Amino acid sequence: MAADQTTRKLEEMVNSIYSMLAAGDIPEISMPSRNKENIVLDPMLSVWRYGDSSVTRSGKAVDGAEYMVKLLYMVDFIREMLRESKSSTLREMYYISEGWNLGKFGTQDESNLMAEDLEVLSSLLREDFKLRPEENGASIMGDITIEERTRKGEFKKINCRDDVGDGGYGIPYSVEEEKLRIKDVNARYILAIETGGMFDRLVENGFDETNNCLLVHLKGQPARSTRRLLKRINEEHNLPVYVFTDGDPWSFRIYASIACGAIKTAHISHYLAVPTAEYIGITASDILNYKLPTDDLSDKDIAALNAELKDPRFQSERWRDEIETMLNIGKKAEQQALAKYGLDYVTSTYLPEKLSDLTGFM
Amino acid sequence: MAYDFILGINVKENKADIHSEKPVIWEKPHGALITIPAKGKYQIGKQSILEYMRECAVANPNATLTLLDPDGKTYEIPRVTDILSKPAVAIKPHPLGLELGDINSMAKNTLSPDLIHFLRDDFNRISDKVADEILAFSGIPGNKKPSELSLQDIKKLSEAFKAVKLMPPPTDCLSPLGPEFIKKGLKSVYEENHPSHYGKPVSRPITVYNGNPFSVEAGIVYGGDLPSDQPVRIVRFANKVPLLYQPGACAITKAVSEMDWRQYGFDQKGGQGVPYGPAIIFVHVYGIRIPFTSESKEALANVNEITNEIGLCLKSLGRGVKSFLGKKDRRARIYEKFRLVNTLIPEIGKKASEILGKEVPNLEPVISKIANVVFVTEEFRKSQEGVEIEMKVINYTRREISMGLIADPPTGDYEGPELKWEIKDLGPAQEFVASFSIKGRISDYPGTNYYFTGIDPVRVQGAEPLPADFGTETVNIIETDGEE
Repeated sequence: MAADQTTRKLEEMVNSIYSMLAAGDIPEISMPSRNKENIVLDPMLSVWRYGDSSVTRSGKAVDGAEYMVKLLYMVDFIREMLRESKSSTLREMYYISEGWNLGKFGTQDESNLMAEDLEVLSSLLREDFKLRPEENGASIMGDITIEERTRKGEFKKINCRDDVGDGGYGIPYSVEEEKLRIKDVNARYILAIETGGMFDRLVENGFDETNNCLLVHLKGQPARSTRRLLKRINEEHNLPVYVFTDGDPWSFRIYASIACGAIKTAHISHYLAVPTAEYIGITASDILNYKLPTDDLSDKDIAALNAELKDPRFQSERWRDEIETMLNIGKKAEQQALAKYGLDYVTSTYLPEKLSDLTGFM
Repeated sequence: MAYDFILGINVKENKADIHSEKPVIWEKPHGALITIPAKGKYQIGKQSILEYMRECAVANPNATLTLLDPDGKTYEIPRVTDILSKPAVAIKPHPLGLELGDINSMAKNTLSPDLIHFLRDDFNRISDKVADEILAFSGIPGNKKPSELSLQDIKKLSEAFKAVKLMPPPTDCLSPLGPEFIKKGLKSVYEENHPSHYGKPVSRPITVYNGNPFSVEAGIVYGGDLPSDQPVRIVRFANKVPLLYQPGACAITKAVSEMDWRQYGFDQKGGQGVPYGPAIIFVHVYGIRIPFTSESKEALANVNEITNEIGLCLKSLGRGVKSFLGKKDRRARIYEKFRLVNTLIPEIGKKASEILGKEVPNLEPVISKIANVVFVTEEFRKSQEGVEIEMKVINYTRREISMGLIADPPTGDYEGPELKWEIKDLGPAQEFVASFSIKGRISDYPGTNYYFTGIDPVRVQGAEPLPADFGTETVNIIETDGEE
């Protein structure tokens, strides 16, 4: 969104506070509550969004008033960046807030959360505010050609297989049209991979070429721009997304955040989530069928699995079976446990088998 | 002119043996000088002579104590009060406090010619009528010579003592320290820890166990530099004498350990054992016959009556600490609200106007909506003498108010005229400011209590209605009228 439009939207929000004060009313700000209890699965899009319960921050309490002071300082800071065509990292903003007197943040979590609140309040995106996360590090490898706008302001054409090294193309913090254009895609699907070790293995084995696919390294729980890029390729070029992670409850959640969205970003799920994404493995049945080396589930793992049984994102029969099986065997396994059968086993046997009999979990 | 005695102790009879006696010239108007040579190892620490002296000073604030240690160092703890404590009054033994042996030796040594006079004259609380009852119950003739009483007779007498109705011993015979002494003693010795709270000393009424009158008094020192991650320190006293040894065997330690201190803001594993917290607990048990665990008089024996009384004292101390902590919380809450209307709301107005390039709106209506009260608040800063306090009364209501205000700074830190103001016709958003100074360190300043009169309590924050029993008579209590 253009800078002046963003500024106008932010000023509208400030004006609502100002008007309340001028009318002699206690200022307040309402927005959907952004917690686990207020998350619903959108029946149309089958992605997460915030429900009907909302929170009101009121100036009649110290917390609420402090919140508003900080929010106003943040808005002022964003306006200034927009005016000067600058951007800053979330961490930089946290440090800059040291000089904000009453608007100073206690922790970076607090300022990060407030940046998201500001998205919810203004229906804008963090990218519009010129705020970006510290690092991304996620990368993509495969026959896709993009144009990225460099810091010199020119669009540079890059093929994510031929023009990059073995690390792949580093996904920038913003993958919006102004920053990144997708020119040409020559692949059948996207394989999103949790760990760097497995990504490197597939790159080394040339899986993107032999299977004509795009390999995306998620780097754990994927960042917003990674999810957004998956979404754009999926939507704009109709490529299905397959998710390949470790076989434990936390990895199941990586899949869920790609497919349905995450609690913190439920206000932009429609913009980040790929509801048709499918989970390849490692599943609990894989552990049994492939006789994989395992670790015992920890108490935390068990608690997480039990929580997932109640999570609306895991209500399909197949997911329930997998979660219950994992609880029954009490074991989890890493992606790289497949190396038990040799370095090529994953590309020559496991992935082809799994991809061919994919029936869909959701 | 004075006398110089060389004395020994007859342990058997608990009597002095005079070895020599000679008159000497001594130039003091009055007093006694006692020299006791003893052999021992000089050590420092918790169980040392210096610590014994320090604790003695706590229980005897009217004494100046000086210690010259083997290294030639001199320690002096000067007296902090010139008032003497109330001396104990001698009374005759109460029948219920006596063992068979005691009665026997009294009978052998009495000057009374016969049993009836022995009973009437040598015991406390035996009237003529009671003496007759005792004779009737025991079946011993009243004219029998006390020295001729058999052991059987003594036993019968002892049974009779228990059977007849006896008044408890008089209770004015004991010598307590009293609240003023406890406070002064604790303050003089423990002030170096800069405690933030001296608990109001607790004195129990005098009670009786086995015919022996006794009582308990206690005090507490809390906060400041005292370590909060250590067990509380218990300083124990029996008849003004510090008990340094055998804390684990002592009834005082037992009473502390048996109480659940968690409800009073202390840490305590499972609600028993010596609690953790920044506190020194002072307990003084005094009475005619204090039961010790052994002849060395190092620890109090566990007598139910005594342990119960100690427990009641401790509960009262605990409540005091809790209320002190609560007051701190309340102050913090009032300060928060003050910051809200005085700082945060104006900042929201300022920043919003700045972003929009508009005039700052009039915030008074919003502020009085948020805080429709009169705030009494204070700011304090370090001054040369101690702490300078600026008290502010701000009217956030939308009407003119009038009220009386009394400041009650921490006891002992303020010297000067009574701090009392009549505030007349303070308009909305107007302030009334007054300053005063107190002694002491700023880090110890617990805050001043403010009391108001003549205004509806629901409309004031940061002060409390003047209690009816408030100290001085010069304070006029103005009744709250319904209209305010």
